[in-house]
Amino acid sequence: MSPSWLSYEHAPPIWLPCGFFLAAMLWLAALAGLLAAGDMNVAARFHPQALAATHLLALGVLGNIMLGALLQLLAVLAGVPIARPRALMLGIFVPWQIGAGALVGGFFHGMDAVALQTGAGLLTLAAIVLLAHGLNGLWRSPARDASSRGMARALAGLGVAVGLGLCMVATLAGHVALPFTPLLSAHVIWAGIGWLLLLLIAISQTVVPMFLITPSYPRPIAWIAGALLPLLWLDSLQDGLPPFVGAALDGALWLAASGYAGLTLHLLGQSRRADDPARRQWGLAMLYLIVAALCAMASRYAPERQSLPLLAGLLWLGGLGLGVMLAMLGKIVPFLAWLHLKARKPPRGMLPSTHGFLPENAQARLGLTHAIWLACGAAWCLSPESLRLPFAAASAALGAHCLWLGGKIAHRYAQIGRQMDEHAAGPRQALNARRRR
Amino acid sequence: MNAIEQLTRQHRHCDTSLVQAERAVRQGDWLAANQAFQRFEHDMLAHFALEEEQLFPAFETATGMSMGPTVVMRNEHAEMRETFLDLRDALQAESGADYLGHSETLLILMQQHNMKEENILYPMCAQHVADVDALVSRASAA
Repeated sequence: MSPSWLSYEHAPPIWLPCGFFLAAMLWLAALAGLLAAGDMNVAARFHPQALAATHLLALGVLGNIMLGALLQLLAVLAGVPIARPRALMLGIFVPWQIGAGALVGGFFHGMDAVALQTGAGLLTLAAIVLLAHGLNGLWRSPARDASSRGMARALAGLGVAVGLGLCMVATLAGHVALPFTPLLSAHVIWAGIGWLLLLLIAISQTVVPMFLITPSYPRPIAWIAGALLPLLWLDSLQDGLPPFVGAALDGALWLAASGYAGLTLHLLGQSRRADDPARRQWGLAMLYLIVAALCAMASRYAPERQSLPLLAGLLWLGGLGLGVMLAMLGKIVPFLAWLHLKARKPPRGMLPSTHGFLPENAQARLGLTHAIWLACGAAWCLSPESLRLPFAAASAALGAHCLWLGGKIAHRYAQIGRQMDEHAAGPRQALNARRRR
Repeated sequence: MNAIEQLTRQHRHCDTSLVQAERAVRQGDWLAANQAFQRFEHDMLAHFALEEEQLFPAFETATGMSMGPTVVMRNEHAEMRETFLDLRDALQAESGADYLGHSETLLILMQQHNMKEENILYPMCAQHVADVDALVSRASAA
């Protein structure tokens, strides 16, 4: 490891995480198109169009934000350097986008085998590159804090979820004959809990106390984080176990997840930055987690209520996952823009604060758009035949809102960059440059 | 209390003063904001001095890494000192919007810096610097 690995110069260049974030916003807008073009009239989680929407949200929107944020956090939290950012862009970003597109398209067009295999293959390739970068870097890093250990766990969860997904596609294509239902159940919990929730637990142990100024998470968070992986392994094998053991394992998983939400809500209640809009976004996200867990448990005992698992999935991915990630992006993106320009040593007064890139009230309004989008999504889960288009419109509005804010940040960034160029060039050349424009 | 705990505690103590100033600005209480900011700045500068004059030289001597992570940390201290100036200007002008913007910027900058120190540099100091607990205790008491 380089002796100067703590330098921001060893953090990813701004285009690497921001490329993933921009892709996520475009995928969010694409969700609107997918919903509008679909004709799903019944609440069914395994309807091809529901699978397409789920994977678009999980891989295209959340996956991209998580990958971009993870590359940044690995560098900042654990000192994992990004020696070859272009190679990572080529090895992770490109196959991830094409793979997600192929998989979503494959589901949408009635389980097209070629598209599903192409998608699964490319996503596996991207995951292998990410795992090699992340796990190798964490292994070499001297950091042994809860977040660094948690990121390693989450990467392991991603590896298992992707591996299970690949096995399912291979089974569907007839290359292997594996028991499909257990694979499906395991894939869902490994992706939703092993990857998404474990990453959120890892990150929140640093982000919540440090940015919302709360006490540290109490000891039980380590028990929850430590128990989830063994519980996931046991739950994956529940087809060979008596039903009451399976029910107990499911209960333990959802209880652990809700325990994390309860601890986080308790800490947020003690936050000394009560006016930060991110605090409200985190709090709402934890409430969505608890309701999602209740829906998931209820669906076990009321399998005829097809809306329940759909609602659980939406609240998990769109409420918990997207809620936390939009809160984090509201901090990360303006700060990256600020930091990148700051590195150019601008004269004092030329560089605005992070609020000059994204004001606090803009972040609060985005939180409101997200809440409205989620309400439309929940209504769609209950009545897909009549509320598909309102959910599509809400998705278009949320995607457009995110892209508009991103565009404003990019515009401000370019504007200040030009001012810095003009200042560096001197007054006469600045005047000439202005005349030329 | 060992060295890592003492230094981490100093970080949290500074966070508290920064947030107190921020809250006072939101409430329009400029006197309280000034007092909290002065406490914050005083404690931060004392913490920087402890690191730059005692801890980092001891680390550099123990490891021979004089152009390594301590240089990066010193540069980040300098960036934070510049932001202190922006905050002081905003306080003098009683500009709530400017103050809150610079305070948010500093908080993120500071917390990223603290993460690096707490997760990586302090454990390395504990590993390489002889009697680091006593060094930090002495320097903190000075």
